[in-house]
Amino acid sequence: MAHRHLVLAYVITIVVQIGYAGWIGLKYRSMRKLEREFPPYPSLTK
Amino acid sequence: MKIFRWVWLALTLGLLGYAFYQGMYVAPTEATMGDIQRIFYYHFPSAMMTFLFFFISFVASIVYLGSRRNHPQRALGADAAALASAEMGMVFCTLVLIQGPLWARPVWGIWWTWDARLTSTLVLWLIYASYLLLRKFAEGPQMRTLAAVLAIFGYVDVPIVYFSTRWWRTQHPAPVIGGDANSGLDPGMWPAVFWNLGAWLAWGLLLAGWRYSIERRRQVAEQHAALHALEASLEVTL
Repeated sequence: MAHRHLVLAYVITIVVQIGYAGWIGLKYRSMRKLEREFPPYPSLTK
Repeated sequence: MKIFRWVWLALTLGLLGYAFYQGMYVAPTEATMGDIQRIFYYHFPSAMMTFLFFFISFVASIVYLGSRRNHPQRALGADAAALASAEMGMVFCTLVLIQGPLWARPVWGIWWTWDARLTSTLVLWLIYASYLLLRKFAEGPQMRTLAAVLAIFGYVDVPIVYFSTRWWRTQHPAPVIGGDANSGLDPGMWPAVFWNLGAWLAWGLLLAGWRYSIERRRQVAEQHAALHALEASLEVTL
C-alpha cells in the first residue's frame, strides 16, 4: 500500500500542476479573444 | 520575454526531474516509515510554496489598498499579483491536503483526523477558496477592495497553520525542520529537500508570472473595451 500511495501522491501532484497550467492556457485564450475584439483605443496608445 | 519564459520552463522541467531523482533514489530510506516517507520531498515543498504564495498575495493586497486612490495603475498591477499568487498558493494548498492523507493512511492508519495542523490547513484552503469565488462572481473596484481585505485577514491563518504543531500536540508530528533539539533530518536527506524546494519554487514562479501577465493584459483590454463602449454610446446620443 505504501508504494502505491507514494506513486499516487506524485502522479496527483503532477496532474494537478499540469491541469492548472492548462487552465492558465484557457485564460490566455479568452484574454486574446478580448484583445482582438477590442483593439487598443487610439487615445490610450498615443 | 517569450524566450526567457521558454528557457525558464526548460530549466524548471530539468530541475523537477533532478529533484524527483534525488527524492526517490538518492535520499536514504527513513528507518521507521520506509519509502512512504519520500512523500515528504514534495509534501514539504508544497506546504512552503503555499505559505510563500499566500504571503505574496497578502503583500500585494496591502499594496492594492494603499495605492488604489492615488496610483490606480500600480493598484491594478498589485491586484493582478494578488490574484495570480493566491491561485498558485491554492494549487499548492490543495496538493498538501491530498498528499497528507495519502501519507497518513499507511503511517497512522487513518486518512484524516481533526488535528490542529490538518484542520487549520483545511480552514486556510476554505478561506482562499472563498477569495477566488468572490473574485469570480463579483465585479468592479469594490470586488477588488473586498478581495484584498479578505486576502489580508485570511493570511492570519498561515502563522496558525505553521505554529499549530508547536502550540498543540496532536496527531501531526512536531516539526522536523526548525523543531526542538531531538528533531532534525538525516544529513543525506537535505540535498533532496533543497532540490525539491528549488524546483517547485521555479515552477510556482513560472506559472504565477504567466498568470500575472495574462491578468494585466486582460485588465488593459477591459479598459479598451470600456472606452469603445463609451464611444459607441456617445455616437448614439449625438
